[in-house]
Amino acid sequence: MPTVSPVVPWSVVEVGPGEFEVSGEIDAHSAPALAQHLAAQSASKLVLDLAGVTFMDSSGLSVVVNLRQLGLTGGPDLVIRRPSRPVVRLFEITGLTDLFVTHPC
Amino acid sequence: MTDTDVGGARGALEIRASADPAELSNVRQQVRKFVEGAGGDHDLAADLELVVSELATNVIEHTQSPTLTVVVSRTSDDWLIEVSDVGDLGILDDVVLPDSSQPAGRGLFVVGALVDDMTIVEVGDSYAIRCRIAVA
Repeated sequence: MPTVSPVVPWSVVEVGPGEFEVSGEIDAHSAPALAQHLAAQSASKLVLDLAGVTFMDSSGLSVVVNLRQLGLTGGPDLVIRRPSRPVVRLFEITGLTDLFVTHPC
Repeated sequence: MTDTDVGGARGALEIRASADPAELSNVRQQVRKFVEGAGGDHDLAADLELVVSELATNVIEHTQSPTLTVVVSRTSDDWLIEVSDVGDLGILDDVVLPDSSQPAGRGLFVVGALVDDMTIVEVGDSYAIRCRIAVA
């Protein structure tokens, strides 16, 4: 199970085929590496468990919106599982709550 | 990074850091510590962290400034946040929520949703975005 970027305060761990637990802070520092890691996956469905995300700003939002768009154009379908409070808050502020298939904490 | 008492405020935090994404986590951590130490609750601290992160990211990604400066202060009435430098002085003229299919462009909209007002102010020889949140 690969863990990406152990130095900075975030991680993404593959817990099953196409299933990832994302933890820590998703911002302009971590988002590019997270996007690159997830875009390299070949599964037909991408499940992101965001229960461990302690902070996310619009840079992180860009990652999930882009993944959703990829899913709409032939890429893996995106499922958000257990979004943490900071993630839910950001979805609410930006009116994106209904955009994602989510399973709450 | 320093804690100071300035301008009649009850307390202020001034942070100067490189305009580098790697600095964002540390900047937010300092903001959280200051807000909670100055009487803000967990939710307010989270909001101010988000505001500062968005504005600092704007400095990093959309200006040529090699440094970013963040000042957070509390008066009896308000929490004030100033982040500089500002690249485009018209940056607040047309803050709209992008279409849901657009991956980027939500940062200033998020800030606007969390604060009571935001303006561009001249600070020394540069400009900052100043945000105000009324003390609950």
